Amino acid sequence: MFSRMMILAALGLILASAKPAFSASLEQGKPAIKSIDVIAFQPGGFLLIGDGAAGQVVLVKTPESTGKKWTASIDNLKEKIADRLGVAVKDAEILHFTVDSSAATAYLAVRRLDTKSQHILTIDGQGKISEFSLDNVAYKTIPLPKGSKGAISKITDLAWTGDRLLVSGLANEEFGCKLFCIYQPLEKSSEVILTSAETYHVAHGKWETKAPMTVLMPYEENGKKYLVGAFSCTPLVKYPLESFQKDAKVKGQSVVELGSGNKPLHMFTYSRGDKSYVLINTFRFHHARKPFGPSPYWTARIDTSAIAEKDNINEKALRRLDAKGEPAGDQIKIITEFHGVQHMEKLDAANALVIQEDGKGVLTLKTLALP
Amino acid sequence: MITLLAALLFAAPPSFEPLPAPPGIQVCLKLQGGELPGVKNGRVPYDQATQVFYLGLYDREKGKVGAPLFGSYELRQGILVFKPSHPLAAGKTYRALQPGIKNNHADFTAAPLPPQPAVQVVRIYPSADSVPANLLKFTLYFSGPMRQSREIFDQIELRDSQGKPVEDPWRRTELWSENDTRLTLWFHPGRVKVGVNLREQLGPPLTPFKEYSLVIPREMLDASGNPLGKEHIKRFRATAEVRERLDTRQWKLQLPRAGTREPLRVSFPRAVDPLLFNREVELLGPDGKKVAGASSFGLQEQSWQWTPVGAWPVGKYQLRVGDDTADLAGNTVERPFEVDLSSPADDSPAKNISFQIPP
Repeated sequence: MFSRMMILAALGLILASAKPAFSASLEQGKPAIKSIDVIAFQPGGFLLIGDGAAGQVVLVKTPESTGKKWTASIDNLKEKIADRLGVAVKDAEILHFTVDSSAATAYLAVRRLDTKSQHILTIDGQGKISEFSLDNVAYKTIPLPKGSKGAISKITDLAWTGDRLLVSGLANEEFGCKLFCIYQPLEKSSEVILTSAETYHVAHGKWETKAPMTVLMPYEENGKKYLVGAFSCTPLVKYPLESFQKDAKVKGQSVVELGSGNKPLHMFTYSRGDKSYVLINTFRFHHARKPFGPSPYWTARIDTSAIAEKDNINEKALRRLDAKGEPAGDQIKIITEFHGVQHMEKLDAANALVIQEDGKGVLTLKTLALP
Repeated sequence: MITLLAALLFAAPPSFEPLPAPPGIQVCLKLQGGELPGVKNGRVPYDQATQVFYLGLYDREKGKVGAPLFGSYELRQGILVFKPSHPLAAGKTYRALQPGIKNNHADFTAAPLPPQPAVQVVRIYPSADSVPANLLKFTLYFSGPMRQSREIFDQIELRDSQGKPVEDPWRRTELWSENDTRLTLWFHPGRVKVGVNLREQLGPPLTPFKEYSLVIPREMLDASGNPLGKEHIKRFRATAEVRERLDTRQWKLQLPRAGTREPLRVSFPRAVDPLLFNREVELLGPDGKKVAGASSFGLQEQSWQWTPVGAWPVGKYQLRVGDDTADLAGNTVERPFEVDLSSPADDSPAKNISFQIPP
């Protein structure tokens, strides 16, 4: 047991679980939110809402955990959501997804296209769909600085690392990578580092600062904390959190290349026995031309030994496919059971909660065993 | 519950009452006996109340009522009142019904949106009819607010000279202005950058010296759900790719005379990105402060002029040019769009322009 814990700790599976620390009480009421781009669930029962249009992150306290086991499978999910909103199916879209694993509850950010309104819904383990009203909640607003290059317009992902909040964003007018690192206690006076990280893009062999990070996750390796980010076309890059300092250049190590034509959507780590993995799902731009499965949404499992790689990085980063277009090894594997997964989060040690499409646009919310 | 259902058999159907503020309507049901088990006046648990009656979207064609809408229930003096969380969808019909009780429902059709002038495309940047083949983005302006939706990336087409759609050219990230009248539509950068596999496999979206059409079809919906007034087609020709830094030393200034309100004119050898230019460039006067005035662009964004609020004083001026000032291919005054950071850096580029307005 001890050795397993040591291995998992070394590979980053024991991530910081510290609750977000607040030196002041939360506000009570209705937070002013302009757009819900992304949502993430954090320890302590906090829902993080990334609001790029207002240039802010909003933390919302959620109800206490019910702790029930997830047993539901909800087919025709979009129809059911549209029904509850009272709109036609074509007028509802699922924007983003996260899971409160301690309460076995899914949180969905959805929008009504006819009124441009956005809503948070919850689905519990028995399949009950409810609205998580933001009209009267305990919340905190964390503004993101504009910096000298203009404000962001969209937040692509965010995560709490145990002592700081990481946020990635992009702007309408320039192609750029904007990363924010906000230190606890997450007050308006908290120090915020705004930077654009240098990343080696394996696909075309160049260092860049401009590509926006589409998903990110905290990662720990041998006691050292990192941010692992994924970009379109599709490198995974590891940045030491200690390098996020004011006016410092943040330089990452590209460790995995999944191939061109894909946009990462969600990723998380999990363990299986003494092994540990990153699971990442992506949208394939040119699915019709070169499909990886029955759906443009496909998922890969990456052995974290690839993330921990010290020597084979950047130019030598592990590629999913070799020069002949064949799988380059067993460290990266496409998971066919996850074909069609548009959204996913880890539910428990053995399962992911996913929204999966059947290739004809029908969505099902269900559990899939972690591969 | 059986007693309750029996009582409801003889009850009047639910009724709809207008509200002055959102959601604009509430639904009331007078309870026979005026009570709900275990509930006095005030909030009624949603799950309990929906067993008495609920409001659902009604599909007349299929005769089907949707699941209960989100909202809250209150018991007020023997009347169970449902208030939806959100406004009903314009033009849609909703049915208030009592589960297990037939023919005691009530329907309500939300008012359709008033007729509005059809929204049209009013401007597209770049306005030129020839653009570099490594153009990064279009900026589309509409006469009214549009509907946000991911479908726009399948609706807006780029067609080649034979009218054949260019496959999947767009970066599928919705970037609307706050009032939804401006859409920034990016080409997928992976197809613009040299050496990226996506470009190697699919080819660049634009090939130099070929003709293209950007087609914004009628089926794009405005905020009210109506199609555009008409299809809009922008025809243009791709020219050679531009992969060099924007050099302000090549800008030509036409200076105004002191004491007049003549515009300062700056012409560029190649078109600039007007939105970034407006954000990044500022004119400082002899006192070091921003010169108050109005900015406008000339034909095909190849020139810019600044008309001051007051007359120009004699003295030294500076056109301060921000790092992100860019051309149509994303080449900024600081560096080209595509640069290998491991290569030696360019010389410190000249950016700002100083000039003197003589007496």
